[in-house]
Amino acid sequence: MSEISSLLQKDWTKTKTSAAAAIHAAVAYTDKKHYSLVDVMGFTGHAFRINIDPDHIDVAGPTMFPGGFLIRRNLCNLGFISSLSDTEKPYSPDKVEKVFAMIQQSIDRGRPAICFDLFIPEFGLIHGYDDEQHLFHAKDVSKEGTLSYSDFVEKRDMLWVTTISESLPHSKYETLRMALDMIVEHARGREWQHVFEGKYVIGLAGYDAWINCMQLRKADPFGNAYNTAVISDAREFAAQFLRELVVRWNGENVVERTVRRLAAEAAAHYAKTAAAWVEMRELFPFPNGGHPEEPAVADRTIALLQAAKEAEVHGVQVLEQLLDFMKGYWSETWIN
Amino acid sequence: MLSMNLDRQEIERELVERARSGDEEAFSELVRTHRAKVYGWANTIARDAFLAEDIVQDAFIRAFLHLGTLSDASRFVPWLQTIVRNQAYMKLRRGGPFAKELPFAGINSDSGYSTAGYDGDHDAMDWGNIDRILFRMSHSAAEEAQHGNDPVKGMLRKELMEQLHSLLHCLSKRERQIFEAHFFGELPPEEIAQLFDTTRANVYNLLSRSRTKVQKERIRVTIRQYVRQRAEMGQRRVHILQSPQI
Repeated sequence: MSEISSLLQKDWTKTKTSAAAAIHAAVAYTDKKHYSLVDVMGFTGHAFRINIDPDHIDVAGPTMFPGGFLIRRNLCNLGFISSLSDTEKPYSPDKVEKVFAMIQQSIDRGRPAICFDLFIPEFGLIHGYDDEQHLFHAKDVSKEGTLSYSDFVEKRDMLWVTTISESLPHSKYETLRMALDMIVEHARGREWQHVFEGKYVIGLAGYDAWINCMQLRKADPFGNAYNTAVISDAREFAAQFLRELVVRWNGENVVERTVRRLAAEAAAHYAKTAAAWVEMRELFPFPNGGHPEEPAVADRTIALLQAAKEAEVHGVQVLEQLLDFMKGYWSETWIN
Repeated sequence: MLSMNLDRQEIERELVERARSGDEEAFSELVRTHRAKVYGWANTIARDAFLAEDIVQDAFIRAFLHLGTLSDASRFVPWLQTIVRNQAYMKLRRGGPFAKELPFAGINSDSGYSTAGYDGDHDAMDWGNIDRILFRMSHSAAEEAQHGNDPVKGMLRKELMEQLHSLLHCLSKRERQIFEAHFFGELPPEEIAQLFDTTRANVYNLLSRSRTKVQKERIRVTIRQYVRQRAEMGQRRVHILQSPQI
C-alpha cells in the first residue's frame, strides 16, 4: 500500500540526478522533446546508477564519474552527436576561445550547453549569452541567473561543457539496447571510471561498500543522506521506466513480447529495490541526515541495503537476459 | 660622416626614450630601422630563414616589453643584440621551430637556472602558458605581416600592443619589474633578490602572486579580444533562449 501511495505522490518531472535533469532539459530544445524525464533517466542509465565513496559515503559520490565520457554516451543513447570540452586549468587563450565558440554556436542553434558547477557543483545549462555585458545566462537546480564570462573561466578548474549537435534517427531497438548495455556495464562494475577507479565503487559492489561503511559506523550523515536521496529517487525512476516499457512495447512480434515480459519481470525486482531505498530515505532525511552512527539505525540500514541489493541482483540478471536477447534484433518494425 | 653618425645616434636615443615612455610610433620606427640588422644577427645563429624570422618577431616583442629596464638609451643596439642572441640560442636549444610548445620550465632547466623552490609542476605549467601566449601573439602578428601590405605596421599592430600592455598592466610597478626580470630578463631568483634588495623567498612569493594576476589578466584580454572579433564579424551580440525546465 505504501508503495502505491509513494508512486502516486511521486513527481516524475523532478529528479535528484542533476545530470539527467540537465540532459532532459537540453533535449527539450531538440526534435526529441517527446522524451520524458523517466525516458531520459532510463535510457541514459542514470536511474540505475550507484556511485559510492567507500570511506564515508561522501556527498560528492553521485557526480564523481568521468562526465565527458558518460554524458556523451548518454546523449548517444538518446540519439545525438555531441561535442565536449574538458580542458583543465591553466587554460590557454585559444582553448578559452574555442569553449566560448562551442557554447555560443550551440545557443545559436537553439540548444543550451550542458555544464557543471555553474552555481552549485551539479549539472546545469547555459541557455544564453550577452556579448555586450559579457554574461552567460544559466540555470541549475539551485537557481537561474547570470555569470560573467571571466568568472565562468576563472572560477573553475575545468571548463566542462557538452553540447548537442546532430540528432540521429535511432530505432527504439537501438536505444533500448544501448541503454541496457550501459546499465549492465555499470551494475557489474565494468564501466570505465578513469581517475575515479579505486576511489569510488560502482554498481552492485557499491552496496557492499555501503554496508561495510555502515558496519564500521563511518558514514558521514550529510553524504549518507544525500546519496540515499539520489539513489532512492533513481531506483523509483528505474522501476517506473521498466513499467513504461511494458506498456509501450506493443506485443505484436517476438521482440515486442520479450521486451514486455522481461521488462515486467525486472520492474518487479526494481520496485522492491526502490521500496527498500524509500524506507532508507525516511531514516536519513536530506539535508539534516539523521543518525547513521546509532547502532540500531545502522543495523536497520544494513538490512535495507541487503534487501535492496538482493532485489537488484535479480533485476540485473533479468536485464542481462534482455540485453542478450536484444543483441539479435535490429529493426524498428517487424510484422510477423 | 662623423657628425651624421652623431645625429643618427641622437635621433635613435630620442626614439628609445619615447618608446620607453610607451610611444608605439617611436618603437615602430626603431623596428623599421633595425629589422634587417636583427634578421641578419638571428640568421647567423639560426641558419634557417623561418627560425630567424621567428626569433626576430620574438626579440622585438621582448624588447618592447623590456624597454623600461634599459638604463642607458644609447645602449639600445647592443642591448637588442643581446636579446636576439638569447632568443636565438634559446630556440636552438629547444630544438628549432618545432619545439616551440615546450614549457618555460624546460628553458629554465636548460639554461642552468634552478627551478627548485617552486611548488612543483603546476607552476611550470603556468609559465609555459605565459610563454605560449607570447608565441601566439608573435605568430598571429607574423601572419598579419605576411598578408598585410606593410609588414612593419602589421607586426606592431595596435591590438597586439594593447594585449601586451594590458597583460602586465595588472601588476604593481615592483611586481612588474621583478616579473620582467625573471621572465624576459631570464634572471635567476637569487640575482633578482640581490638586484631588488630583497630575499629569495620574497621573490618567489611575488612571482607566484604576479603569475596568478597575469594569468587572470591574460584570460580577460582573451575574452575581450574574442568578443570584439565577434562584433567585428557582425555576429549576434545577445542570444538568450527560453528558460530551461530544470
